[in-house]
Amino acid sequence: MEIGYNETVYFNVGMMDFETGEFQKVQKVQSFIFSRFMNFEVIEYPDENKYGSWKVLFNPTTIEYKEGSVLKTNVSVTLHAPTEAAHAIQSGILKLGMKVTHAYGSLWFNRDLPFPNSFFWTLYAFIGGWGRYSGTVDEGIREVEVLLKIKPYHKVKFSSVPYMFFRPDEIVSIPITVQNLGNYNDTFGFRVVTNKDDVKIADPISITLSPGEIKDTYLGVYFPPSFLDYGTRHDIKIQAYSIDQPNVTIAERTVYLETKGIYFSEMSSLGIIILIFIVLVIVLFLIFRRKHIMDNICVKPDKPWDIPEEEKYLKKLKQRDKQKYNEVLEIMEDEYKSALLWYEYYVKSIIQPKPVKKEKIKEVKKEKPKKKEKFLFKKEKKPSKKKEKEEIKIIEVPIIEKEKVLVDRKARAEKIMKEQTLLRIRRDQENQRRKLKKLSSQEGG
Amino acid sequence: MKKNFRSVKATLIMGILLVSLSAALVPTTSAGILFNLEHLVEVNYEDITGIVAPRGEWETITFNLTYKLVYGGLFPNLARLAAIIYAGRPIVVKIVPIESPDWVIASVDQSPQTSIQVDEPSDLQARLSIKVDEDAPAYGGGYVKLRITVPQVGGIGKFETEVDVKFDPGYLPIVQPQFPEGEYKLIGPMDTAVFPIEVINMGNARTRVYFEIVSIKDDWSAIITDEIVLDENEGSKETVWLTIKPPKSFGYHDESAAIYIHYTPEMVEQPDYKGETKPISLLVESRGFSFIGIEIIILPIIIIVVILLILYQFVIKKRLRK
Repeated sequence: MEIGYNETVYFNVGMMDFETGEFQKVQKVQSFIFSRFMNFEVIEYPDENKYGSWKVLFNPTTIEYKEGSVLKTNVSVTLHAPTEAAHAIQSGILKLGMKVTHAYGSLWFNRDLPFPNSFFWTLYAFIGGWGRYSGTVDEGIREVEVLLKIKPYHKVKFSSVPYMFFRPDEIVSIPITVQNLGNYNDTFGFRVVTNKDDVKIADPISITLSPGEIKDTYLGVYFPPSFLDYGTRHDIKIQAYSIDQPNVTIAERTVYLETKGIYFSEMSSLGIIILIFIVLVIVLFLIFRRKHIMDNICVKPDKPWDIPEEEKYLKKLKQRDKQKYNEVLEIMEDEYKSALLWYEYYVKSIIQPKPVKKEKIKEVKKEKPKKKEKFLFKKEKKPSKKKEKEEIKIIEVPIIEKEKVLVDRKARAEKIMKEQTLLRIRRDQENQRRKLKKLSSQEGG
Repeated sequence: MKKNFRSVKATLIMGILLVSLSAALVPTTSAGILFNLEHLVEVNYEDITGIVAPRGEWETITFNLTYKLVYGGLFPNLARLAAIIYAGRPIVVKIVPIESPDWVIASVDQSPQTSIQVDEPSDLQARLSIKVDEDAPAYGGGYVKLRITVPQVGGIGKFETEVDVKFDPGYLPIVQPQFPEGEYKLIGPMDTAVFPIEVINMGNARTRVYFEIVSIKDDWSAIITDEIVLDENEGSKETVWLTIKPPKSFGYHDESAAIYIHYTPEMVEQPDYKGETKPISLLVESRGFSFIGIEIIILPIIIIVVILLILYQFVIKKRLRK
């Protein structure tokens, strides 16, 4: 009969009546039998029951030979999956034993037989010698072999897969550890289930494992390119099946993966470069535009030590007198700093002019003409002077004119140039004076 | 002379006959012609149909024994008479465990005693107590082999028989989770916290352990390996991965969340046998600035800045013209 892991089979075992083909029923207990009963036991298991996988129960365990009792017992055979997958149970023979115990009374006489059979029974008891077993207990075992075919047990175990991180546009091969928990060499196939269309997956290849064997299979995954991935989780479910039962899923495992990172494809790199280029162009344009505007307002002062004449002078001075050279250079640096400060202030004032304060122009006061004398009241006429025409006296209040901001930048720039040139000339003159002084002092010495 | 020889010959033959007859007739432990006496014990018991829990209480099996004195011979009455001679003598039915797996502790309470009765069977009882260690493999075919003996008493022959008592050790659903990287993590809002949880099988069968996330704060997300299978070998372990993602909206984050997980062990071969569901709790703290979503605002910011710069240039120009 067939039995699978974690299954129980039931059957009957007993003494068979070959005439009827059924189990024997005790019709009558012989008079020479003192007592008789039957026990059942397992003589041999298919794999010696090394791992305790078999459990055989008899019900009843003992059958007494009484009138009417049927000499059979119900046997239940249970097969548990072995604790270690490598200890697979395969088909074999289960040997059961029926132990019959006879307790004999007096074997010399058989009262069940009529005369002369009873006489011959006694005679044969003497001749055969079995008479002397009267009053003894005898055990005999009869064996029954049951062929048990173990059903193929298809079971596989996935080990857990750790949570993994990958980058966009990456191709990976993830190892999946698989163990055969079945009882025969089995070939396992795999199916992948995912709801993400953008992730491309190669199903793990089929593998063949013996019972208990552990091997790795590989899941190939391609993650889509993504310019900026903050962390996208991908759930991939793997189902295993035996090729003997392709429609039955025997194990499942969900693999959790995450993609994270920046990816620069050729197209996006080009786009980024173009964007950066545009931004740079705009920034440079703004910088140069500002510079142009500033130059229109006022040219930035030159560095005095870069002016060719000054440069020449400094060169000679450096060769002649280092200390003097440093002093002159320091003066030039201070002057340049001051010129720069002024330049910045000036430009700022142009760009953000101060509001012009309007002062009120005082009104021109008019002197009121005198009142004419009235006719009735004559007064002494004073020597009249010739009246001159009264003039309206205008009291002029000095109007303070505010200096208008020179709009003419060019003129202003020229003015500054002139000032700088003047400054330079003064400096040259100063230097020449110093030279002359020195020369004169040398000559005098 | 001839007469003497004949008489000697007859004497010899008689002597041999007598000796042989006596050897045959006198009852011994082996079969004798006149009569034989032997003990007989009939054993009735029931195997334990349920399971014996490891580290549990003692399980008891009751044996019903029927003792009979068997007699018989050429002269039944003589045999009966011989049996009567022994009547009343006490006998002990010894029951001794002789074989069992290492993880079984078996003991018989007391060997039953009775006295010899002629034509009257004696009903006796004995109790076998069984205890199973935690090492016992679940449903691993437990058994105890007993030897039942009645010793020889005088001319009554010895009786001996063996019986097997079978039982199934129960399933011990004990698994122990461990946290190699601790139960607390501090991460940034753009990171992912991954906790490996090592699960060790302390039970006695191949065990499947189910994991379930019971509760987690709003806006946080977590996943865990659904199930693992642990081999029966003591100490076999597997790792389960718990992954937690905090909220990652743009801006500064300073929050923490406790994650509650339940795990339930179950026997692989007998899914009806489950252990207790037990809880695990872990804590994750998220602290830092998240730049997720910045690409949405940075481009408009750049455009606005460029426009402002261009406008600024126009303003300067305008002022200069003035």
